[in-house]
Amino acid sequence: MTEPRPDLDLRAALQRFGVVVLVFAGLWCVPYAHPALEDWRYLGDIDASPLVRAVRLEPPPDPAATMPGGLGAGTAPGGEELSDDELAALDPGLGSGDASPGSDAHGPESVAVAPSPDAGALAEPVVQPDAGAVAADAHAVAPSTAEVPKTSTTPTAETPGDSGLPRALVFDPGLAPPAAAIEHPERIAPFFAALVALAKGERARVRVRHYGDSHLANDGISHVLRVLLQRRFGDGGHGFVIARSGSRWFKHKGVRIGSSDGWKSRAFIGGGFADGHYGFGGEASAGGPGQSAYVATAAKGQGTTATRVALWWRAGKGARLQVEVDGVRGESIDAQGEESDRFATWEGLPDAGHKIRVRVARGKVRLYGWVVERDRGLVWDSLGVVGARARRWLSADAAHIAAQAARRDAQLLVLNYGANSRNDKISGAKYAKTYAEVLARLRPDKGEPCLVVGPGDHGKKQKGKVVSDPRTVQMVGWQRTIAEQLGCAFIDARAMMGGDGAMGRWVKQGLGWADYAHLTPRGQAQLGRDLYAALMHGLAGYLAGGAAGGR
Amino acid sequence: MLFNSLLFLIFLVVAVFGSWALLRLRAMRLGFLLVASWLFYMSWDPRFIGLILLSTVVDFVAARAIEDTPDDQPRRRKAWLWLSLASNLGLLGYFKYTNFFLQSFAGAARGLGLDATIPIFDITLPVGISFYTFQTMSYTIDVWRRQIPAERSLLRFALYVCFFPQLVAGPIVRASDFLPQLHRPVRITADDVGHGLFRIARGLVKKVVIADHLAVNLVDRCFTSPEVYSSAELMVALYAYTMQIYCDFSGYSDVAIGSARLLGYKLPENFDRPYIATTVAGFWRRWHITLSGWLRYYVFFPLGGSRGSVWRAHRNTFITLILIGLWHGASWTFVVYGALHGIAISINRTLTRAGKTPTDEFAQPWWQIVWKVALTFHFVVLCRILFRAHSFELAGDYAAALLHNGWGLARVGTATWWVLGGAFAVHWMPRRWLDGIGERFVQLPAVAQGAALAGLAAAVASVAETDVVPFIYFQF
Repeated sequence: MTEPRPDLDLRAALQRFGVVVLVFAGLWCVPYAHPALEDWRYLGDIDASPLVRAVRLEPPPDPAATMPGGLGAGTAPGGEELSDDELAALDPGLGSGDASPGSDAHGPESVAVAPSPDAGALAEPVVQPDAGAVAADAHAVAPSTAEVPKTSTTPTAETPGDSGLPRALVFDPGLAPPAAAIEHPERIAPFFAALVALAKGERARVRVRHYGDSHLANDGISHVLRVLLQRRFGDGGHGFVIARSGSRWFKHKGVRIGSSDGWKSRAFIGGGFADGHYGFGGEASAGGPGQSAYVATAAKGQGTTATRVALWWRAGKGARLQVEVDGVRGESIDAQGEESDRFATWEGLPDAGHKIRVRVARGKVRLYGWVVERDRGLVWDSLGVVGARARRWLSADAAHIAAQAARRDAQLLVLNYGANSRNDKISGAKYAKTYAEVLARLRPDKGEPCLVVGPGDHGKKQKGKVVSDPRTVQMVGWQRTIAEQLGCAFIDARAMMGGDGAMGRWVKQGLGWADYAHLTPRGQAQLGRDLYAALMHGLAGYLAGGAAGGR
Repeated sequence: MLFNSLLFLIFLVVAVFGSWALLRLRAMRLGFLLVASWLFYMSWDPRFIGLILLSTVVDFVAARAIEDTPDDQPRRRKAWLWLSLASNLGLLGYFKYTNFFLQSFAGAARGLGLDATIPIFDITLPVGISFYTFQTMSYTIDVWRRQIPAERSLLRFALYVCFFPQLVAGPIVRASDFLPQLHRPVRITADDVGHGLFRIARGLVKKVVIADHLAVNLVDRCFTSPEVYSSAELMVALYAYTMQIYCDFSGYSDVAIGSARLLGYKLPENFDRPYIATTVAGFWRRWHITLSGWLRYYVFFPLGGSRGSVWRAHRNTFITLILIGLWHGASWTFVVYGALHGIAISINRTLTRAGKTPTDEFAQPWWQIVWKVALTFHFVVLCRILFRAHSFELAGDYAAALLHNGWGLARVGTATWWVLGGAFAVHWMPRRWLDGIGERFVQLPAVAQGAALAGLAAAVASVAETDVVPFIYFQF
């Protein structure tokens, strides 16, 4: 079908459009003529993958990867999550102890230990009337030891490396240094000693408490650390997870949590609970009759089984919780006496998938969080709260924090703050003073070794280029000094990312989000892997009797 | 493939040259544009092209059957109309509202003390479904009303449904506006090129320089953790979000209108400086004009409009505004958002009936204009909390923090102040000033236009917060 030639200025239009396109394209090619104009080379940014996908009829990448706030660059490269197997493959090949894909994902590689019903029983004061039933709603302070009862666990199959050490402790002699090493690794030597004991089957569990801000709140970095360390030292379970968060950015991997809509979540950073009781994780959710919450083991990947689940909560006067264990309604928990913090534990569960749901039947209840653990292995508690600053812990009740911390012994405390505080108008001296006070609260008995992780690089635009935010650089310096003063080891995460201007490069590589502050899932995996490498390098140094992991 | 990506610019250049090369071969040109549009849509997710094809075929067949059925068989005509409406609303309902209805049902059951466990389905919302289903419904309704003839060419109708410039985020084009253009010979002038390019550039600046900057540097942070920001910062973030969403959506419309003009077609305007409105009703005559127009034609007027009793008019307004809210998202926050606007319009109408408001909203003393604009603007700004928060809990947290968190403004950066202030200054400047800039651009020689656009694009790219950030309205 043809139509009469339309009365158009097609020639003029074509000429104009052609010239515009040619001039436009020509000018955009100019920066490729001279290296001095390198910063203006934008043509390399063309991503033709949408058209390629359209032609190949391929579905788009997972849209779930979004920025905090939900308006994120969901199509940005690097937005995809990594599977646990892919994460395990990130183990930087530190030695022959690396996990192989076919190995038991749960058991420590060094010792394959038969699950024991009473392993770790000393860790919590519980009784076990029936598997699956409520074991206790105990108030007593737990003894803080996770040593293996002599009669409880017997290694059934040691798989030592060539050196005679368990394979988890074997590292390549020519181990390459990590992107940034732990500074003063000798300060966390007790943690390394605990890892060695765990690998040798001399203790049942090693716990780490990792506190942080939004960089930790979606469990991205900590999940990588958990997966890699548990593949090496054994899966001790997901650890502590707050029951519910008011932030949509909050997310935990390797465990499932859920709740009804009527809870009011409040974190220590913003106040809201006059008594200052925000629980072990720093965020609690208050609710009344009809509200429910659950925790379940993961459907796949890391964290699919557990032998012990606990609920940390606060009961109002006369409060009652209805409990459902693996779909079966169990006994109710009746809180006697005045309002107080409580701990319900389901111990001795079969090493399988579990789901525990509680529903408020009466009274007021505040949920602090769930503990999901197995009998043996490494546990990495990820305690991130969006928008957190270390000093905000001072607004929580000190005795409450101490009581909560006392129930959960740890062999290492990791403090991962500073990204938000860099914006505060505060002097270095005052920051150091409050930081010391916070550490004292989180570590009331001063027993656990501590590791300060400085903030990662944050960028800002300056004359069209992304440069490091000088306040972040200053914050790294402050935290290094603080670690020195408090006797903590230190890791410079900013240096780990590449130092000056790192965030700009990470954004271009799809490892950082466009706010030049937060990391994409792949960026978190990268940083988690680097932190793991630094820890293992420190451990290798410890085993060698030197300071290979330190400077 | 986002409008603010280099890939789209290359795609557009190829589409424009290809379309012009086939200018005298009408069927070939339409076929070329149809394939380009399908390819554009499939670049989002090729699985959902089937939905568009289904909607196209059903509405094409239904409209022809409606037209061919004599008026003395009203039931038969209505049955075809219902087939079209059911298929479109069914698609929209399933993909957009399934989980909303299930969750609402479960919530109601829990409220009655029943232990309702409702499964949540993992349903991906196809891009643009809210736009093209509304377009095709308007077509069959208009044919049913005998206001337009049914399209006899499947090719033309398919292109009307999925014309790529407006496919994924509007404007919602009524068939009576667009199908006649597909029947006429296309006429393109050098001025069309200039105007089209200027419109695209204007849209990209709105999106990349203003909307993305405000989102990344203030709005997203405040809505993620409102508790850590001061009241003053949260208020500035609300102003910023109000400007962000305008620049984001109207920026998309500018690119769509400019791109269509390069291809020889005219799309309806979607925005008319909404924040200078002196009433909430006036705001909806200036904001997302094609959606509010659609609901006015197909919901408000059929319900009786403003005729009849006062309460009937209020009811019709209320229903229409709730539907506008619900169109934006499957959440009760959007329902309440629409209801608040409906209440405001009803109150305004009551006052108007007292005989005070003139026909021309600007034919009144300047001080009245100022306070009415300020009042309307702040009503819109505060309602944006519900629009952005997506949950009552977050909206409540935001509102509480807005009232109680003090007055510091330390975390609003200098650049953000400049971007926000500049955006509002341009928004409220006389229209002729902005039009004058466009006319001057059109009059420039082609080489100067190319150089100006290259310079602008380089500047935009250098200040861009990221390579690509999706447009907000894609989620609707």
